[in-house]
Amino acid sequence: MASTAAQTYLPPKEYLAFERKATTKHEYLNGQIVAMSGASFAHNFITVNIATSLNVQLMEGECRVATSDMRVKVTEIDSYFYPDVVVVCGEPRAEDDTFDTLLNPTLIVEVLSPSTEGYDRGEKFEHYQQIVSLKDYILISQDEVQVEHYCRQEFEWLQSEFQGLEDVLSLLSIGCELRLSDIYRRVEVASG
Amino acid sequence: MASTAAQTYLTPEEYLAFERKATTKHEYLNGQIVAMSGASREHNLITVNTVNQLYTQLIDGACETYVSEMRVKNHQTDSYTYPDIVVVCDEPRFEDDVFDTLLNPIVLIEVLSPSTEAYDRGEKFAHYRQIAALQEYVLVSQDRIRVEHYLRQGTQWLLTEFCGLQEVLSLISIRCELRLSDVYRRITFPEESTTLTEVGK
Repeated sequence: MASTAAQTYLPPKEYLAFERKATTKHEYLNGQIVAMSGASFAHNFITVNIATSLNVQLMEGECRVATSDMRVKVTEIDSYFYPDVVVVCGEPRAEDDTFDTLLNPTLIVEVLSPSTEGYDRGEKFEHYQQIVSLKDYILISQDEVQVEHYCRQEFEWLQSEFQGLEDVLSLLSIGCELRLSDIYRRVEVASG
Repeated sequence: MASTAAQTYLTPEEYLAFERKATTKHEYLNGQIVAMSGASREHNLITVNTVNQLYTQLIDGACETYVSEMRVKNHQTDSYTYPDIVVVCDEPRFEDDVFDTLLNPIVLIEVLSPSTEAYDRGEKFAHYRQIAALQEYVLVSQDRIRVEHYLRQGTQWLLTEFCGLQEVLSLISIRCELRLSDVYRRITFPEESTTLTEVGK
């Protein structure tokens, strides 16, 4: 999801009050709000493909899937993000009784856009790593068949990459599989 | 090292012929040449600080260290890059008898710049991963204390992060250690107003 930095400083509480009344979405990082823009066809189709595949598999379990509009807070650094896909297992924990800000995601997926690729790979992942409950971080390219999976080990992250439409990503933490042929279904990209 | 994309298409052979006569450096990725610019004081200090540590530890062994000027080729993707630091062990293999294009680096280190961070983390690393000889890839931030270490594990890569000046990164494949206090020696970050030289000691 493309985003641009705004120069307004707000304390976290003011951001949240502002955001709950806002008509567009903003992330919040280091005291700055970051406006979020729309996304391409491919970005949207990939997001829904992933959410659908996971949701079908998780229908009976204790994990649930949300997309794009679920605000996630990284408590350690008072920052707020809207991942493209989020999975939460067990009881979702919310920041307060408005129940719109998730604290304990198990898995986060970001579909890469040219304008935010550096942010998603770098600073955003660095912040997500501080979420203790987070076990998996998945980056999806939208212009080629390329999926990167970071799986938390005790102190490290194990990175695997997938470039074939016949490849299948195993997500042990939520007991799911993601087929690349499903992720990229009806999306026109170059095959890796 | 900051770089900007040019829109010229060249075959790999044309790129190499062009590059060997060029007066400035260019990388080559997916048929495009990418002009390389200069780098900040911090970028240069980190590069030299890091090479110093490696050079001292590797001086008597079978490994060699190169800085900024060694072109590395990835055969699988026909791409050419100039990593900030390259280590090669045993016999360096070159593309041809000009001996200026390395095929078998074992460790590559890139110092991140704002303009190339996405490239270094994403596409460039994706290309580097396909170099069979490569065992370790290290990304060093220049705007704060942060070093990311990727270690090859068969078909996967293990990512470990280091954010403290007292931390020491082990480069297993070349049996070297990198002390963050040395990597960031003489660099001051604005928010701390203390030189890391002092903190590191």
